[in-house]
Amino acid sequence: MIVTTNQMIDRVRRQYYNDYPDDASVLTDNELLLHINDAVAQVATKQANEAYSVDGITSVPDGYLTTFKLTSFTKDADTNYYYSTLPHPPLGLHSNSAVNSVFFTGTKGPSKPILYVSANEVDYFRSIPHPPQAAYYWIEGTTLYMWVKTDLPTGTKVSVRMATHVTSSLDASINVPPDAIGIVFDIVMQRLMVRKNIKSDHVIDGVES
Amino acid sequence: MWGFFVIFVQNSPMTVDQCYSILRFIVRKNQLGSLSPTDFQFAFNTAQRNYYDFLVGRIEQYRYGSAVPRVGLNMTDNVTSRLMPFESSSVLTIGSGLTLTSGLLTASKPTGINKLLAMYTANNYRVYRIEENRFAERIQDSIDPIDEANSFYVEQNTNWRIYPSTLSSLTLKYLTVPADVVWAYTTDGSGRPVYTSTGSTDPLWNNNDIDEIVGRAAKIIGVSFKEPTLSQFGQGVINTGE
Repeated sequence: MIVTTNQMIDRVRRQYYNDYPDDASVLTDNELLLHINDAVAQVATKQANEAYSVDGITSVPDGYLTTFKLTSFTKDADTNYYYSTLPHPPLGLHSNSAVNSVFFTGTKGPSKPILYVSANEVDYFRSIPHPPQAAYYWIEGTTLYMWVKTDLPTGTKVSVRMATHVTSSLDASINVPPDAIGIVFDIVMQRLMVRKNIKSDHVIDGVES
Repeated sequence: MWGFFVIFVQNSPMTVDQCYSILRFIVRKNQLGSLSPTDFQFAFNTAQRNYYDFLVGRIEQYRYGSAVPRVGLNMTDNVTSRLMPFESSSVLTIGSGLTLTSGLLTASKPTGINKLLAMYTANNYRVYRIEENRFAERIQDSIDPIDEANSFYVEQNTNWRIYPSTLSSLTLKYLTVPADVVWAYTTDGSGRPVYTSTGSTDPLWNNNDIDEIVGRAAKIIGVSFKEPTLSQFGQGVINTGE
């Protein structure tokens, strides 16, 4: 059965309140979504690191992958680097393992892959030999930088295939492999149950308690 | 045919006259003489409000950090069903209960409301309660936007402030307080009161709740008459329900 993000939210709320939440419940969908997104990122990273310990390759399970199509990017006048904004920073896996591929689309189908350079190599990669027609990218936070030899034709888009912990629609299937959904649920519940034991101050007395 | 008649009689709501008769029976049983209609009304109306409060939940039983009474509204369907004679609902729209003034949306409290059960929007999103001392933090909250899916209200004396102000319709479910019963009468040739349904107001309670209320009324009359036997009887009803 496909689990949507909304179903995950409702499942957590029903478990937390041990019933349908009443109208005095304070756990909102948006707050739960933050917890769920955090948990998905945590589980994806854990599974990628476990894969590394088994086969020596850090790879995020396919269930976390999605392809973002970036239609808007700008060329920096000072550096001539193109840059665009990702929906979120990549997961914190080493060697850029959280991003599977970056390529251009929009003119003649998918381009050859844009090559990754690490942040440490950005300042000198242009001085070293590189393949013809090569393009490079690196990421700083949510900003995707690209370097190409020539100007990109109008209509060019950039596709980024990467692991994601967020969803564009709460009614869409959650971006988590089925075997990890239970782990995500458990992590969210563990975080929330701590809250049950924190006393809430409901008396107006000018004293924080 | 006869069976249907019996069922009808058993399920028909008790009249104020029947309530008065039961209470007079108890009072006579305790040899206190007559019980005037005025005394009966005072005692019964106080008792039914007392019982209503008991079912909704007594705040005296709250403890700090645990606002849970021993018996309270929605605890079980047994409690909720007993209060259903006082359940009511309203749909408020702009100009009819909802007022938008200078960007501030307020909803008038319906006449007779005692306890708000639920408030929700036209698309069935709950409208939840925010206390005044948390209002500013809620407005500035960066997680939940102020939209229909996250709508809320702040209670004021005669109305509620509603957020967001873009809502055009609200559904209210609430309980009204029990209306006072009235035992109306005419007088016979000897000046004695004779019951008449004209001008009388019957209780709305289910019949099984009338006994609970009569017990409480007996206790009140016992206090009024300084009659410990009646007070003990009433306390027994409150403690054990019989």
